[in-house]
Amino acid sequence: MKLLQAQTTQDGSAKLLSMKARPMTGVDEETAVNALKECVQSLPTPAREVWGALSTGEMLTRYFTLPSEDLDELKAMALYQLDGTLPYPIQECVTSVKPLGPAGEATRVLVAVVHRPNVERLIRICQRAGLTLTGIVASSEAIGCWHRACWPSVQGSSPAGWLVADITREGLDLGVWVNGSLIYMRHVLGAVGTAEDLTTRFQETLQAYSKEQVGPPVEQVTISGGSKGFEFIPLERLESNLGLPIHRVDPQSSPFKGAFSAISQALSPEVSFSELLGVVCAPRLLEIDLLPVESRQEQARQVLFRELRRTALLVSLSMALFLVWVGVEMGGTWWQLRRAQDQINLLEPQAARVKAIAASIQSVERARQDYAFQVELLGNCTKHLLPGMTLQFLGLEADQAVTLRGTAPDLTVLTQYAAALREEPVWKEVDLRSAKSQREGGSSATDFELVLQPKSPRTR
Amino acid sequence: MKPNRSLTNLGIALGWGLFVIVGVRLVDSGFGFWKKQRETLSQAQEQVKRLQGWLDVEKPLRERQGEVCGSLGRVSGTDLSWAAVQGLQKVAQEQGVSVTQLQPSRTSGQGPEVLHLDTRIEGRLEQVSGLVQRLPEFLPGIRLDSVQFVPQGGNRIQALLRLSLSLLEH
Repeated sequence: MKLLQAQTTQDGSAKLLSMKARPMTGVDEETAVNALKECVQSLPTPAREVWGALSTGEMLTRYFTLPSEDLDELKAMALYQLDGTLPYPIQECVTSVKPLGPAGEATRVLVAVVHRPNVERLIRICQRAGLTLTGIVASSEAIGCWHRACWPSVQGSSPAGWLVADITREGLDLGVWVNGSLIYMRHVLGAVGTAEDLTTRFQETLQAYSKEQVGPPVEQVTISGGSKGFEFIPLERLESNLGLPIHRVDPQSSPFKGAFSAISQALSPEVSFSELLGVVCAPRLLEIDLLPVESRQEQARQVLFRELRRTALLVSLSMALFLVWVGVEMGGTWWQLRRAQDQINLLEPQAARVKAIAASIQSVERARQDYAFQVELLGNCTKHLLPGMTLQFLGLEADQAVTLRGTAPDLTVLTQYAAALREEPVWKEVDLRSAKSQREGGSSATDFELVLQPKSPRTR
Repeated sequence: MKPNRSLTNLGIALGWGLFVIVGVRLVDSGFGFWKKQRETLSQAQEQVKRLQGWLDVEKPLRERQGEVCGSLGRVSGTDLSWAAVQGLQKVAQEQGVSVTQLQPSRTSGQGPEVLHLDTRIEGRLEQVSGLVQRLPEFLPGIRLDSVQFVPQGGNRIQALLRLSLSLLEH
């Protein structure tokens, strides 16, 4: 059981955090779960994405030339072609279809097929160990990614046809890359004993690749594996046997040199992490996706429910906060209202006293004005008295009407007096109530009574 | 879909609908109550401000009352009759007019208590006239309800005055 943890950044660079390998005493699921749990518990940080690698040995590959450009159509056609050519029903398989080369009337596609129980077993083991798989990749493709990342720039651009090989105790994982894309993969079981043995396996692979006619001839070979696996292999002899240049992918000269060398000291030199390192190198470039659609749907459903739960929680929290805020505001309003009412109760008697003072001032001033007006009325009555006229009675009534009783020499004088009064702006009406002429001795006199209605001071 | 499943879904939908309607009504009425409370608070605060404004002008108003009302502003209750009689006598003395009759009476309705003074005075025309003119100086707020001037022969005159005076402060 091998587990590697890396931290990748937006710009594509990666930093290795941990590389763990645990020997498994058996091949049953329980043992695998326990071994994985052990590895997971020793990880420095929780993982955000989890990628699984399936050995190429667990896969079947088929090539078809199909008349379509549409990927969905290509997939449907490929599955139709596959039906009946596999050792198990297509319904029991997980498939990944990858177009090779340009799409057109004859599109060449690679179909990777895995028996569904194998994939489900991997998913189950991961789930029981607390990991949810983001994707499952083929080990050959991951190894190719790793070799591509390690291709030294001093040797120029990577060759067009390229055989990548990873040597492990279980056997060889092989793949052919053309223009940065995996077009052929193969797994050879059994440990590699000698250089001749390795040469034979390479030659068989190259012949099988050539027979499939899926790409250009191989120009370069790169090999990787546990550091112990290389000790006995003389690369020069291998090169001369194969007639191809061979480059060894050395972890010590890789882009992860610093991190890898620090960690690799703690590892068994027999263990190869090439496939896992390949996943770290370019997880986004991996095109063979073996995670079943149902698992993706289940993951999407879980993510949706998680988001919904989070949203509901956020909405509830926001509502609760809002209601608390409203409650606090309402409480504050109630408290302020109560204080204001207390203040009103306290201030009202004091303000009423002040209002009474203001009212008394107003009352006195109005009384003064009225009084002055009344005095003016009385003065106005006597101001226009003509010679020979006398007043016997001058009365100011409650409605401010003035009653005048007096004597005038004759009616002409009385009329002149009344006319003079009417000219005055203070009077609204000048009414003659009575006029009676009397003759006593040689002189005559007219007794009269006038009622004068003054104008209001404001309308004058 | 089985019938019991449909009924369950219908029940859930109705429950949610009822919950939403009741919730919206509750929130709506809560906000309505709060809005009303805030309006009441605003009115109360304005009233406090107005009352505070009255208290702020208390001092200048008292000073003004002192100027306008004089000693009569501090008179209360039964002292009003005596204050009025004293004021009338004082101005009569100053004008050289004799007060021949003085009849105070009181009325009190819903407003402040009012003192009525039926007064008969005699003197020369200018003396009586001067008394009538100067009365407000000695008795601030006095009102002339009615007056009759009756010549007495020569330059003398008799005046029947009905005056009224009310308490300025309670």
